[in-house]
Amino acid sequence: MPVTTPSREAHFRALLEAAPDAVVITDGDGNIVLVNVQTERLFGYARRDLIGRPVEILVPERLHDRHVGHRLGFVAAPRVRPMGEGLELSGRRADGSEFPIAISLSPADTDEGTLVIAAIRDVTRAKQAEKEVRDRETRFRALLEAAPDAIVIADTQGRIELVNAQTERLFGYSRDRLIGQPIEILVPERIRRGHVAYRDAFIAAPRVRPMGENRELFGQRADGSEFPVEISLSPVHTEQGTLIIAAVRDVTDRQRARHEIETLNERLLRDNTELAAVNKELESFSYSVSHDLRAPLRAIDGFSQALLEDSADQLDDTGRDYLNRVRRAAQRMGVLIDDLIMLSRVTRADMHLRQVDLSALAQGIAEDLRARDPARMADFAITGGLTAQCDARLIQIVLENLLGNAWKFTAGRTPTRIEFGSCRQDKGEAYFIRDNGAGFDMAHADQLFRAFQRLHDAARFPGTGIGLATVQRIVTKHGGRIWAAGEVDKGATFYFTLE
Amino acid sequence: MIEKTILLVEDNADDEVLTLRAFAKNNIKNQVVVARDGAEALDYLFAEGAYEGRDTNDLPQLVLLDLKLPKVDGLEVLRRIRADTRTELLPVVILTSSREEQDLVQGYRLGANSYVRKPVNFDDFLEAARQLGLYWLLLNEAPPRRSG
Repeated sequence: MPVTTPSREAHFRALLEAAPDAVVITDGDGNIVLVNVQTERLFGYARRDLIGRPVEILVPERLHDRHVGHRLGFVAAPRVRPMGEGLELSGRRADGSEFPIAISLSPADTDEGTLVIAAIRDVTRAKQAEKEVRDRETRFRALLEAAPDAIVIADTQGRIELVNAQTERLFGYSRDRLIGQPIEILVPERIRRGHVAYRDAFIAAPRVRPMGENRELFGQRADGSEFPVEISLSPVHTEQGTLIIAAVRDVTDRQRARHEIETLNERLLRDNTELAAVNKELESFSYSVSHDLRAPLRAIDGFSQALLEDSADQLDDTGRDYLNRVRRAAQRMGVLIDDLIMLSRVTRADMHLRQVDLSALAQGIAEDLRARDPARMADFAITGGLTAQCDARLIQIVLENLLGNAWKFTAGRTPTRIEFGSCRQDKGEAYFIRDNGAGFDMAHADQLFRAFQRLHDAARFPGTGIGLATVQRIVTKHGGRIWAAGEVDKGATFYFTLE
Repeated sequence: MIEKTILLVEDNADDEVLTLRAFAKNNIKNQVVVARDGAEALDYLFAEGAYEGRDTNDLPQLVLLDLKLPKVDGLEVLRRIRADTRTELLPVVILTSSREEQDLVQGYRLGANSYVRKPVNFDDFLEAARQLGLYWLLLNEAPPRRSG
């Protein structure tokens, strides 16, 4: 099937073999008459396996019928053109695998009829690159649409090129009403002129930055209403020139929240100042009580005593009794004042929490009580090793009061038995102090912890009625709870927890 | 030999009488100089004002200092006593109604030698006066006197 003189044919062959593409030449019936080495390499066939075979051997089977049709069509009206314009073309290798190709066809009229020359190029890589670009574009779009901010992309002239769905929603414009418009369409009219100047300045020295640092920014909706925004700008350099990406965030809610916080803070500050003033007043009040109220009491007691000593012979028994009553009353008031001060001090006291050995504290207090009345038969049962995270000085007051009460209300009980221990509660450990003393009627249990409330006869069991109120304040200060159980003449148990 | 005086800084006349009575009951016979406010106490110690010309070497054996005083309060008096080389070693006992922690802490911080709270009960007051006299006037070795 020589088509030219031998020397011309050799020249043609050399050209063919040097071509970068696979070249396949077929006759009018679609049979392969010539292939080059690129064809062998590309399709994985030896030349001899191709010559004389229908060209469909290089086409995926599923496309054979269609290909025959196309081929006949080309032969009927042959001209140089790329094959399958707008179609994805595939080649088939000897091993059956397929790969994307681009083909350019040209007819060659010879003595033996029209031959068709097909130049075939593997476009796997180009397709891949194309797909990557498409994927990237898709991802970018998805990102753009998913962004919580309105994103507006404009050119250096300030014309809007692209917006996302959030922009439509935020500003109330449909996309097509924004594209191509000056960006100032989104800016309140009163500041549009200034905005153009800002925009030009940004274009002159573009960099990623928040817009309008230290200024309040506003956007304008399609309906003319304004809302506060925060905008961050970044330049993107593309082949079409620099684009400006503006991310616009509606900060209405945040500003409202900030204003609310500011208002609350101001109120808090005011309350705090008031509270501090009240506290200061309370402090100076309690200082006065502690200092000034005690001085007259001291005078009452002291001069009554002086009178009793110096002028005893001028008084009869009744007179002396009266003076003793005056002294007792003054002294009792002194104790009351001390207890009240203690109560107020406990309320104001700063807490210094540390691990405290409650058993050791209780033991020490028990020894003090015993020393006060060594003749009394008393049995203290103190569970060892009870510790708690608490303020040592405050808890000392709690234990002094509770053990002191137990001691007081068991007076005359033989043998006296006072217990300090702990038990499990739903919310952790509860400590208790139990005695076998006078007890109380559970019907009045709620009055126990109220200041000045007393359930017992003052002559038999002296006291100010402030001790348990103080104890309760301390326990509450520790995040704990205090309660009591008892029965008249059978004793009482006081429980408390410490958080 | 300079007589061992006690400087009692006390603005409350009742407390003054009771304190003097408590001393007498306890056979404390030292001369007691009474200053009725902080300024007077300082004038006495530094021989100023009404006490101009007094010998500043003639220091009391003991100062009993109330805290709540007119003009110059007790803590300020204490601060000035400690700040002056003539009186820095002078034994000062705070004798007051207050048991506020801030007073206690400030008192000791400023160099009080002791802090005694005046009890309401006169029997307790007597006992406090007895112990004060026993300790500060009899047992305690006074700091060496400076010669002016």
